[in-house]
Amino acid sequence: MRAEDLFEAIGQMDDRFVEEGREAPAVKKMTWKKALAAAAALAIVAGLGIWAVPKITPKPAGGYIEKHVPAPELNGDIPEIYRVPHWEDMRDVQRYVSLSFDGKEYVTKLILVHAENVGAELGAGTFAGQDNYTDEIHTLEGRVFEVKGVNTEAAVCAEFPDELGRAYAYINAMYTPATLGQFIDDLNLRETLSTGLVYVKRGAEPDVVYEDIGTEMVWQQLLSDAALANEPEANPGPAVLSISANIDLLGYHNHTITLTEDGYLWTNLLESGKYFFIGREKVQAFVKEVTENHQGYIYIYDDAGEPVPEAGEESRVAETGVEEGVTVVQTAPAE
Amino acid sequence: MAMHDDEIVRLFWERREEALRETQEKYGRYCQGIAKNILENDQDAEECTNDALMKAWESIPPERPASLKAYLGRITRNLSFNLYRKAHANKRGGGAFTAVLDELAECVAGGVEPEEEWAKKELAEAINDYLAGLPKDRRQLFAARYFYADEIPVIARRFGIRENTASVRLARLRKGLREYLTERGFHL
Repeated sequence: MRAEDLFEAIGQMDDRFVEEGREAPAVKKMTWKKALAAAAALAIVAGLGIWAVPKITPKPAGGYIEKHVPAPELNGDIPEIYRVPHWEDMRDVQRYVSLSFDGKEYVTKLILVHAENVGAELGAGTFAGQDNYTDEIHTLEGRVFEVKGVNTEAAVCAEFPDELGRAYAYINAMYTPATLGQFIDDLNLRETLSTGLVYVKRGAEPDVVYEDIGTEMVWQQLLSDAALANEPEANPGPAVLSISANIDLLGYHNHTITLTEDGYLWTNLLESGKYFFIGREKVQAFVKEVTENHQGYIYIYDDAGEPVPEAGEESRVAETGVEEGVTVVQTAPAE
Repeated sequence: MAMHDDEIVRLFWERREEALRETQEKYGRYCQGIAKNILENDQDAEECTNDALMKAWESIPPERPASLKAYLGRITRNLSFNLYRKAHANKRGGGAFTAVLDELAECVAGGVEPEEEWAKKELAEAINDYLAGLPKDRRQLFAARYFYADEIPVIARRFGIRENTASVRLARLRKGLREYLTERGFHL
């Protein structure tokens, strides 16, 4: 092996390590005793005659403990990431990335919707895909169905002529609910949303992870005001807390509901950001509730292994096949 | 405020050219920094950055990168390294980037090349495993030097350590990697 081979292999390092490499390194902090001594010494030397109080990095009031956990499952490398598969080597669901139906454009999620969740037939739609080598646009007619409980403004599922009886999820990328209530209703979130780990942000320091924050608490404290307007143009400030959120039915896994220090709740569920101003007080109250009444952990990753299980997550999504580097999953039937 | 990555990826998927503008605005300097570290030439680095954007345009869709930043970084790094190799087909250059390869040469013996795709994949996975077991600050140091090809003085400034300390830590990381790979049966 040559150095060049090793350099190439290092290029396949996991995404999170690549990102880490450009994060600000944590600066070592003085212990409070050292800081106090330093401040006192400074006050004496400078002859200021005042007692300088050191700034202590705030930590969640409930404290936290270090927890050794297996390293999260690596996303896998993307070997030769810019080798685009040829048209003839792809399956229809990979070829046809968009679907036109009823005047709307939907994009694929590479998710096979379980037969029990496929609703009424809505009519015919047109799949479209572009051959990246010839630039030729291909189209194909297919049958479009409702996803049970989900507004067709947000998502549908559709069947390819060569794969009858299998309907893949297509998401309206332009879907923009006017209010939080509409978002909840359109996605049937009361039934379809599940939440997992909660991460309290601490700047460059590792997040404090809370494992026992139930979805109901999220509903009661953050999602109760259905009248909140969605502000698609908002530019929220830094995140203070992030909740892992899933809509398994449509293939959204480990997305986020994030609270920002300037009072926004935003989520990347579905294909675009949705921003709701819930107010600083609600954000602070939620962070306080989490940090003061629940046990937080700093995760220390031991070695590679299975991902840390999240509450209620066990195998709700069953993998059915991996082809051409694309995982096609089938959503679980409704419970 | 820069657009969210999810939004940018959505623009790529919709084949809207704003995707390129937004990507250039948000990650242009980031990509150029990587290319400059490897090629040590502003003009080549700019061309490589433009090529990387076009590769992203060609590959998304069908790709839907989980991390747009890492995705772009990887493309830029690959393109830059390919260009470097073409320019130094017969011998290594003498620049700052060559020092990165010289350091990595300490980990290998110049033996068999991992030609098979699966062997390359296994090697990459083993490196990932090694990195996953390191403290975060050491991983950051490793990525800065051997993914981004940052120069030692730049790394030292960023990490608030002396250059000598940075070099010593990197040497330990290389030694650790070599041992880790050897124990797992890789013929280095």
